[in-house]
Amino acid sequence: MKNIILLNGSPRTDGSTSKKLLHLLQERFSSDCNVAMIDAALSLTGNHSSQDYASMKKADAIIIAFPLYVYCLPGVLTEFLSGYSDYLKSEELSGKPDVYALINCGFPESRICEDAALVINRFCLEIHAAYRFSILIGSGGMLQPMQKMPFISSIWKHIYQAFDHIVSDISNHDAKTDIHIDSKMPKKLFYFIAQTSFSFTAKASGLTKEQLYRKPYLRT
Amino acid sequence: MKAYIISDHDYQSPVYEKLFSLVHDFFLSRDFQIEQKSIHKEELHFCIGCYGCWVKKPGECVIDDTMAQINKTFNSSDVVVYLSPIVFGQYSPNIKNAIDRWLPNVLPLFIPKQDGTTGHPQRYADTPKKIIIGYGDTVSPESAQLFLSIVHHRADIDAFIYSDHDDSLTASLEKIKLERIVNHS
Repeated sequence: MKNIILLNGSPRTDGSTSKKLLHLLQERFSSDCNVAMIDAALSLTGNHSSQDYASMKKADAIIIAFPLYVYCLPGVLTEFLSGYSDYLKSEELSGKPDVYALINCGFPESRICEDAALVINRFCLEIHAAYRFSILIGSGGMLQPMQKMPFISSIWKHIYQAFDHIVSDISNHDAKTDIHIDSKMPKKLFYFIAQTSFSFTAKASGLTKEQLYRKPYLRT
Repeated sequence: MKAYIISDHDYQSPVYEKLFSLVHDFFLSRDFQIEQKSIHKEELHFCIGCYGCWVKKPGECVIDDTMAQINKTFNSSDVVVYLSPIVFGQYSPNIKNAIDRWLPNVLPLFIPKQDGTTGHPQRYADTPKKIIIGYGDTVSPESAQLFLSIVHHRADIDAFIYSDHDDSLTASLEKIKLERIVNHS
């Protein structure tokens, strides 16, 4: 039986796209896999990272999902993985787990996730795990609220195919290349939808459009 | 002129001490007023991805901690220098938390960048010159290259790796125009 850890590296506790992706991936594993979910933010804020690190140490495969923050890992995931690396200095890995990453970015271009995939690769080198591949997804912020929109539903189709590559690779080691998933939505339309969405959310908070441009720290 | 030096309290080492002295003395010798912030793990929460700094309290982080003061000093400085330990080829956790929480300083709008990807425009018409210096006891060429690549996604930031060669870093800093940047976006 394979032990599989799904690690949510999103700092969001509600509405996390990364967590949603992991739940959908979880459904694709057969019953002879032992699959557990760890939430990096809850692990750190709940002070149970040592127990979670012990679970990760037993894993045959670890799948790390996270949103791209300023072109690399979110701070919370950086802290969690750094802590795991420290933990393994006294609790060395007995095997060599396979590691995969699911990286989604708010911008349309999946290629800006490439450096984050390299960071996961370097993390693997440091803990002596086996980096396998990453799934790099553009337009991540639209995956949930607009999943039925034509440009976005086609992304989901590719995501499910990529999930099958992970499931297969864990058993067979038959894939090893990063997978890019981009929407074919015209960028102008993407910008319009994204900006309109923020304007609506701000309006719901009682803000005017002008207030979105506030400059509280304007230098005098 | 004011320089703001931000560093990671949890990764202090002889290499860091040398780097900090070098950067501090560099700006002091150029008559900069220097303010320093060494970030402790306990005083800075990670960004929670709530977008409150865009849609609830525009321009300010909604988390009540040290970041408000950091963003205030950041925006009133001419030059901001981050001294970041290199962890897995990227920033250390404390520095990454500070950088993630830059978000209030940009607008919730989307613009094409020169490299063909998408970015956010700056909230302010002018912003401090930003310099990020990565360091570590031993930094592999691959980690150094990745660190620089990550920083260089932002065209307005200068980035260097400090590997105990004082002359090299000083020469690099001397080439930078040490003044605020006027944003055109």
